[in-house]
Amino acid sequence: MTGPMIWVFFILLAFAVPIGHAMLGGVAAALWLDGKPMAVIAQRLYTPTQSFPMLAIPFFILAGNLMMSGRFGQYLVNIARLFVGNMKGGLGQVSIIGSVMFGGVSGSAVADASALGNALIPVQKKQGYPSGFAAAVNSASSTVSVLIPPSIPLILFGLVSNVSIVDLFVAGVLPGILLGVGMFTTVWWTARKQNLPRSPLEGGFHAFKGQLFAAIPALIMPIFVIGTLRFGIATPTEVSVMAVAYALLVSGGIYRDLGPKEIWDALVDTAAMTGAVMLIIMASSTLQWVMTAERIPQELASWVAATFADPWMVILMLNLVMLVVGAFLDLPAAVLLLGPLFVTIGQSIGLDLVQLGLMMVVNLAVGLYTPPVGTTLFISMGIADSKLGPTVKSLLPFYAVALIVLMLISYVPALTIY
Amino acid sequence: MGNGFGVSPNNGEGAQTRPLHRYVTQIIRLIALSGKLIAVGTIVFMFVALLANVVLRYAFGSGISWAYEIHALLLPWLVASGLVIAASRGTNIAITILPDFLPVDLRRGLLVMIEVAIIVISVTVLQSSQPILIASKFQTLSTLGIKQYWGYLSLVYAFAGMGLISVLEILRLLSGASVATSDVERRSLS
Amino acid sequence: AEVIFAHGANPGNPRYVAAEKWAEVYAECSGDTVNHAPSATLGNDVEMLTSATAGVIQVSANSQGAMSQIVPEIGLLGLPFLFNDLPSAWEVLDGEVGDMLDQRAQNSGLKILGFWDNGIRNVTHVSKNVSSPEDLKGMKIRTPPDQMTVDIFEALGAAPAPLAWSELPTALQSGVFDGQENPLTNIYSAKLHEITPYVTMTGHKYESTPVVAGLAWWATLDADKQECALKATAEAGELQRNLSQEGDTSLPPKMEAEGATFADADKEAYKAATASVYEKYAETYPELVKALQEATAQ
Ligand code: NA
Ligand code: NA
Repeated sequence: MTGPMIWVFFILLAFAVPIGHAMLGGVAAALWLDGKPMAVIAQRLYTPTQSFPMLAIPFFILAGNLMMSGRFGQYLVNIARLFVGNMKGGLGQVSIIGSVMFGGVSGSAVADASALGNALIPVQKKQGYPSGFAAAVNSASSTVSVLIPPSIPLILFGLVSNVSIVDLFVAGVLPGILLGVGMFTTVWWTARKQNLPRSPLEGGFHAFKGQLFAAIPALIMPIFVIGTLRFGIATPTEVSVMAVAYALLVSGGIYRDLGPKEIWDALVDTAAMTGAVMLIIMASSTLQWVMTAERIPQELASWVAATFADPWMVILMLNLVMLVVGAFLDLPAAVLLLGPLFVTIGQSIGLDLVQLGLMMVVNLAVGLYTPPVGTTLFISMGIADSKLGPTVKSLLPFYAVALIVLMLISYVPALTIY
Repeated sequence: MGNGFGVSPNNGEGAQTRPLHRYVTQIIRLIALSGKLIAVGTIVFMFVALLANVVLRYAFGSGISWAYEIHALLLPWLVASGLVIAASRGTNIAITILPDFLPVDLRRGLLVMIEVAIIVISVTVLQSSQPILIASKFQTLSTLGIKQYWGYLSLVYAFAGMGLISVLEILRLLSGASVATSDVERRSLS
Repeated sequence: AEVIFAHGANPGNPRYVAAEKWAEVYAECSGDTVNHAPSATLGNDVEMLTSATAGVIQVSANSQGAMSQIVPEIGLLGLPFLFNDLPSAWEVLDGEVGDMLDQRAQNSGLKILGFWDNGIRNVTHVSKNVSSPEDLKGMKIRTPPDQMTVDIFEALGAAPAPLAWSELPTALQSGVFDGQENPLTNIYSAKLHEITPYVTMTGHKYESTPVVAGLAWWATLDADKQECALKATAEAGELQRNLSQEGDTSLPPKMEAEGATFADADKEAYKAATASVYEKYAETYPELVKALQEATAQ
């Protein structure tokens, strides 16, 4: 059954059928050819919608949408500029610091890439940054936000692996900061070599005091999320709901830029995003039924165990597979597709599942800025109006940084397991 | 429109001049509106119920017991409404290397084929849901006392809606709607 | 023909062992092949029931909570302190009450092949034993999403809230909850006694593991194969009940060696404090509640 399923899936995918539908097409073909009950499809499609922890996804998306609908984005850029704008290539550094801060509000790298990219890339270009470099910094740094909690890919991994989402969130902070520091260094080095301009905030601290004060509540959000989870005030789903309440309070009460229209739009956009993500989650749940019914994960795991002598080789193989898959597939889809298989393989070599989850997200996030299919890459190139060649060339040191962090996370458990 | 392309009801070239085009666009908007109403209703209801539950649990030590079960009914409907909205906007996630490289006429042909594939798949899902719908009539959510059937119906809404939008989209494509390349930002959810 | 036997337990659990046995006995007796699908890989308990009704799977070793969504009366087996010990529960389930529940299930497209155990549930607490009901006042306790369990702990003055099983260890560690309740086998396999070391043998609630088949599939079997399925369920059930009972005697010393503190509960006080739960359910099911009380009173 699995053979025809995979063929049909890839053929539909290559012809640009949406991923969720392509999966369903593959599953339907496989069940039909094998004479299995088609009711599996409807049954398994419904399953993921019955999960209480899954509710955290729409609410975290909504909190991010509400927060970013107004002035907060600009304040955030100004704060970063106040601290690092005075360095050479200061606006590049702002992009990285901004992504780390933004990460605490949003669970999505794409939201980060478009919000910060639109705010920063035009200014960077005006100050003489090469457009390829501007796009490179934005596309790479925006992926930091899926490591700093909240994070949609980490929630998804938690759900496919039965690992606590709280543990994954807590473990994501350090790798997120490591990536941020690595990218900061890259920009610092490039800026010195290319003599990129300094861009201090006009008027300095005094001009900005009011905004800093106003932005504090929004900047506290990540601390609020981690704090409530870590100190056991509430479960991830409840925290996502409280994050929405908090975003309403801050955006509505302090920034006063949330009207009925903004709220309506935020709700509708949240549903559309939830629907698109959930279709893939639901379709991959049907796909997994077929694979489980044929015991594919177990067989793959024992094949891996028999073929590779040492756990470190298995880990290396997992990483290589993910780098290839990530080049073509969007991050959430890849987590859902590979997660169940990798969990079985990971358990067979005694790999901690929290560590595996971080490994997967850090690895697959690189795919967001690698061609041929890279969403933050294309968004950033679109805003910067840059060509693929120069952008990828500027990205080379960022790939190096990401691979170093990836190797550290893969082989130093202490970075993700406390 | 399900295929992940920027053929949105707002930017079809010459859309205003062709009556068929206008009708089709209106119907897609209407379907999308049903999705928006369901989306806003379900999110707001779950938000209020869950927030009230947290507050009550901390303030008075006991929450609303059905707050933990309401998602079993409403999350499927939120998802279904989101699928319909996303389909009407063309924001489902796809790999678009092939169409991006095709000349306009071939691309139009491919887009029609994609919509046909979506229709076939949607109809398959609708058929496959029949035995499940019957089985779910016997299952009652323990706290709410509502039949699971009402949740499973969301699958019918979602796939009938997506299939219908694809049919309308074929009409639009054949009557000459724009087939501009994809709008990446709206399509990805990373 | 291939028969899919699905359930939610992991290797090592008595339910898993019994499922292996079921597959072995049924395959040999009927000549069919059995595909044993453990660990909820084909869906959780509720989903497996829908699957069985719709013919996606054939048989499932399920749970009392999920079954009570279809046959609400099955939930009554979890009335507080209903059974004094496991054998008295088995006697009731293997008798008229079991037959009556099977009839109800058949009206909804499912055939009950028999009842295995899921053990008697006990309370664990992070900082103290809860020998008397007063010790539970205000306790934040995690329960499964099961109305009967919630009712029991509300009657006892605790603050019960349902939570996903995967979040439970972290939630206990971080203090969202003061404790939880489960059969000893679950507590031990998830190492919950390391986080909540105070185990009180409240035995507040019995849970069965109904073994159910899709009625449509069942109706296609000839009489011999039906006999095979019943025989496999009974034989595997005997094995499972023994394992489950063994666990209740062998686990406490093991867990004590790992730092757990056991205490008995004042059952009379607990019974008195939860009498209102019987009243609540007697309003809806007066005859069955009375029948159950009489069957267990001897
Ligand atoms: Na984040
Ligand atoms: Na990529």
